This record gives sequence, C-alpha cells and structure tokens, in this order.
Amino acid sequence: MLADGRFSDVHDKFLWFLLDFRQQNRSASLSSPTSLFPKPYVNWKDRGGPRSKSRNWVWRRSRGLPPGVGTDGSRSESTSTSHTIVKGAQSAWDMLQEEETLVRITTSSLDFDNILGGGIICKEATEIGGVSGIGKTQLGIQLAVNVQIPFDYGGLGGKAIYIDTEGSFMVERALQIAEACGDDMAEYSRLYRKGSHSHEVKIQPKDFLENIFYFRVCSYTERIALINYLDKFIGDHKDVKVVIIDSITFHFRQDFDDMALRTRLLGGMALKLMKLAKRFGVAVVVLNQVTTKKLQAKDLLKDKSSFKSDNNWVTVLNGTQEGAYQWIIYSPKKMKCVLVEFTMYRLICKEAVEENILHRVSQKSIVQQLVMTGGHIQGDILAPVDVISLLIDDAHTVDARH
Amino acid sequence: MRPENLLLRPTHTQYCTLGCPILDAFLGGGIPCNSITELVAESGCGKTQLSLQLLFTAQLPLHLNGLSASSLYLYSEFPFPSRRLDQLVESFRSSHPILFASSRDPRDYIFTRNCQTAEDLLDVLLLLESRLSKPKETRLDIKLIVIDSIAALFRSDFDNNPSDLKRRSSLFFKISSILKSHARRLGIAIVLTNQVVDSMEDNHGSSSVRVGNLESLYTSGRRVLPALGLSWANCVNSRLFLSRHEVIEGVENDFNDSDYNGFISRQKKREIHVVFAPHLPHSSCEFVIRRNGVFGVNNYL
Repeated sequence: MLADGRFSDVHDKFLWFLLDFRQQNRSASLSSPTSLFPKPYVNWKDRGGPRSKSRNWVWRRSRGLPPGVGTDGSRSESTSTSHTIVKGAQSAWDMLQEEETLVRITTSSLDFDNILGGGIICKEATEIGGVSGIGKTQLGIQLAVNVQIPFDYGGLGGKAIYIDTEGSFMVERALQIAEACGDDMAEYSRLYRKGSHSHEVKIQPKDFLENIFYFRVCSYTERIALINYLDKFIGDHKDVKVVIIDSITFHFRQDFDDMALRTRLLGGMALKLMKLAKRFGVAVVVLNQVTTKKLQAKDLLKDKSSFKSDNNWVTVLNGTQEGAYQWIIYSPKKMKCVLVEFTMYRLICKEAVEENILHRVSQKSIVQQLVMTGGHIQGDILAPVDVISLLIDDAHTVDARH
Repeated sequence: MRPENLLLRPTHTQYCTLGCPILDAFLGGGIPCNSITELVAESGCGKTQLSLQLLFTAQLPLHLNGLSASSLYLYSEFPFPSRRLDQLVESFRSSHPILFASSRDPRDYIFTRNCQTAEDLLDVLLLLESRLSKPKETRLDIKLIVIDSIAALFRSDFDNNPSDLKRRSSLFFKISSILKSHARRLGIAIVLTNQVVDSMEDNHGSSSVRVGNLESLYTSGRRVLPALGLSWANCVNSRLFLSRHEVIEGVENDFNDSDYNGFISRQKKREIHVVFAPHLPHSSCEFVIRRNGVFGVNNYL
C-alpha cells in the first residue's frame, strides 16, 4: 500500500504523463484534445480549485492520514495548472462522482428502476432484447415520453429521437402513454405541492408528441446515413436526451452473406452511438431481437454477435403469468431479474429480485475462480453436476429452475 | 433527413374496417395501415374467410371506415376460393345496394395473383413497386395486400439444414422489409395468414419461448405454435390468433332424463386473440362465420 504522499505524487505524475502525451499528440497534429473529448463532457476548468481541494481533503481524511503529507496547496496548484492544459484527462474519482450525479430516465416502474440503478442512464448505450411481442417497443415509447417529464417533477425535461425500423410505432399508443404520464404528473403535483403550483397547466399529450423526433427508416443504408447525421442533428437540438432505435437488427438480418461485413457495420454503428452518448450526454437505447441458440433451442438469449460493446444489456425471458414477463438485466454492475407487467398505460413490476438468479451469480463466480486457479470443489454449495451445467450454459438452467 | 412531426401525422392511423362493428371495436378500428398484421390459425378457423372479407371492405368509402381502394390478393394455397368470393359478392351487394350496383362489380377491384415459391413472391413484390406508385386512372389505388398464406411458401421448399434455414430467414426479413416499405410509402394495410404447428413440449415446461401475451395458444384442444418460428415473429407488427374449440352444451329440457342424451349439441366456438400488437392490449373476442361473412359476437350484451 502506498503512503498518501506518494500516491498523490503518482497521481500528479500520471497527469503530467498524460499532458506530455497530449502535447506530443498536438504537435503531431493528429487530433486536438478538444475534439477528442469535447467540452461539455470533461471540463476541468469548470471544476474549480476549491472543489477539488475539498475533495482531496475528504479523500485523505478517509484514509486517516495526516494532512501535512503532500500539502493540499501544492497539490491543488499542480492539478489546477494541469487543468488549463490537460482538457482530456479525468481521474477515476471524477468519473465516480460523475456517475453518481448522472441523470437517469425513469421507466415509470419503481422495481425496474431500482434494478437499473434509477433508470436508463444517460451518456451510455443500453441494449434491450427480447422476443417479439414482449414489450420492447412499449418500453421504447415509454422512455420517449418519460424523458420529457420536466425538471420540477424530477425528470429531465428533454426531447427524444425515435428511430423506427420496424414500423411498430403507433401514434395512438404514444398518445395513451403520454396521457397516462400527464395524469401521473398531475397526481404528483396534487399530492406533493399542495396549492403552490395550482396554476400550473397540465402538459397536454400533444405536447409530448411534439417533442418526439420520429424517423422511419426503410433500409440499412438509410439507417447508417441517419446515424451519421445524428451528430449534427443533436448538435442543433441540444435538448435531445434520449435516442431510441427500434430495432438495431431488423435490416441487418437480410442480404448479408458476408457476416464479417455485417459485424463491422454494426460495430461501427455501435461505436458511433456510444460516442454520441458520451459527447452529448444522451441516453442511447437500442432495442434488439433475439434468436434461439442452435444447440439449446429451448432458451433464448441475446444475439451476442451483434452489439457486443454495450454497457448494459436487458434481456427479456418468457413470462410465467398472464401478462407478466420476466426480465433479466445484465450489466457490469448487476445481474438481476424482475417480473414486469404491461398494463394499458404503463409497465408495472410484479416481483422484485429473483433470489435464484443471485444465488446463481455467486455460484458462477466460484466456478470462475475454480477455472482460473484450479483446485477442488469444496463445501456443499456446488455439486459437480452443477459445475458442469454452469460451464455449459447458464440461462437454460436458470430458466428451468424458475 | 428530417424527423417527422408526429402532430402533422393524423393522430389516428387509418384503419380498414372488417365489416363488423364488434370486430372493429375489438381491434381498435380494424386492420391498421402502414403495418403488417398476421392472422395465425389452424386450417378451418377462418383465416381465408376473414381475409376475403377484407378484400370487399377495403372498397368501402372512407365514411364507412373502408379505404376506398382496390386490393391485391396473393395466394399460395390452392385452389383459389372463387366460390366463396362469389357468395360474398352477393352478400355485399345486398348489404350495400347503392355502392355495389349491378354496373359495378366488386370483383373488378380485387386483383389476384398466385405465388408458388418464396422467390416468386419476392419478384411479385418488387414488380409491384412500379405498379403501386403509378396507379391506373380507371382503377382505385391498391391499399390492401393480402398474402394467403405466407407459411405455405416457406414450409415446403426449405430443408432443415443450416444453409437452407439461413436462406429462409434472410428471405423472411427481405420480404418483410419490402412489404413494410410499401406499406410505409403508400399507406397500405398488409394482412398475412400463417399456419400453426403442434407444440411438442410438455404443457408444464416453462422453458419454451413465449411470444406475446398468451402463455400458450390452444386450438381444438391442442397446444400449437405459429409456424415459421421466432425470426418470422420479428417480421410482423401485430399478430392475431384465431382459435376454434368444440363446446358441448347440454340443451336444457324439461323432459325426463332418458331424452337428455339426444339433446347434446356440439357447438364450435371460435375466438380471436391479440397475441401481440403495438397498439392493442391482450384481449379476445368470439366470432362466427356465417354465409354472408365473419361477424363478432358480443357476449356482454
């Protein structure tokens, strides 16, 4: 473990190293740092000295080290000098803070939000997969409406871009959801702020529709062109907060004999979308179809080939009750499962966390350790059969248990 | 590229009536334009009946919730049901005497074409593009395309090996995207019919893929799945399932018990279910097939 003073030295060196790197970069005129990491995303200047100072102080105190080592003054000075020049770098602490303060778009379902950590996260791409008819489009329309909930009501007050490749977007349905959302907001203002905002006008469902930029694309060339154009479009419409693509795979499941080309195109598109998410702080929500695995036709899992590089996966498994579906959420942070029900107006969760899945996750990590380090199976948490089943396939057994 | 202003769009999609107010109410107005609606059922449930009826109702003027348009009927299951079509002509003439006067035969506004293979269908659809965009003055525009049935095209010609299956699913998406782009550009309603396959899995296994609202589809007491599998399910916008059950109803009688056996009647109960649709919740509705068409039954009245 490093002493704190040394740590900050290392930290500063790291910054300076980056600085050197950037300067070299700039001299070679490959690309300017500003274009790589544009202003709204990482602006060190805006994060003033005092703030970073206090942050450092908290950091040190939590480590229980005397504040004398590596004085705050010198440190903040060095970082502030680097602020002016280094525009691209960002410490892990900054990233953590930023992640905690990131705005999220609610799905209108409390349990679902809890699992997603508060909703669909901005600045990231989220993929939602599932069999047809499970409610992907419904979720997409819901998000396009929910993003418009004003600040006063805990929303984002943004606009939405809806890219429809399948033609499933129905204005009637969007109107229904918008109406329900308006009702919810009226209810909220009635309950929580009695009288104070009584003069407030209820948002009309038509206003919601006005703020959805709807693109209908009919071929994959059109789509690629559109995604290239989005950069400019969002630049002109800064209040766009969510881009929904329904669905990413539809046009790519025809006419592609060359799978390598398809993967390249999809990969490039994914990269562009993620860049867009980072640059403008929008949430990118990609709806995806699922295929059955050839060997285990019984279970369905995500189409891994298509959109690997995403941050979050949400996969829908089949439901067990009438009208209720089981969703599994894969993400770097969590893997949980929830039962969701679509009603006439919005989605509602039925159950919170599936214990089986969590149990399974803990089993999986043990197996991973076994595979990596070798050794014997100990304890009774895992029978040998279990291990084999885990190594072969996870989803099927989860499903069967359920 | 410009985004569409959703407000400039008509707030309600245009629908083609089914010719029955109960069925229309059940489907939120009828068959939506700009999207693909699939009718799934085993044979003898009324797929063809319903689609033939649509060929007529599409000709109804707008104030009667029709499309005021011609329709195209592509059939792959032989023979062409011309006798039933003639019956329906008579019934439509009697129900709309002014519209279908003797000088104007509704059959003039129904185009038919047979397709024997999936490639054949693809060719027809590609040729259609020029026909659809340049309509003849004498005829009404084509606003409804019925394909009866899509399953017959795909279930015969393809083997169960990887390369054929890949070719097949590629064709699915190709046909579907051509249909969708036609539907989109010209506001056409598209109706497809699909067959079913028996589900071989045990009834209690929750491991089978569940598509849509219904946990499982039952018809004639058997558990079935729509044909053509999961990738085709991604190609349609809404899917309706028609089922048929035999209900044994003892006729109430005041006579003695020995007569009772003679009065057991077997009734066919047909139902239409929404499996999935972007604009409809899960619901079902009973219907009957009569000589003059398909009609919904309202049980709550």
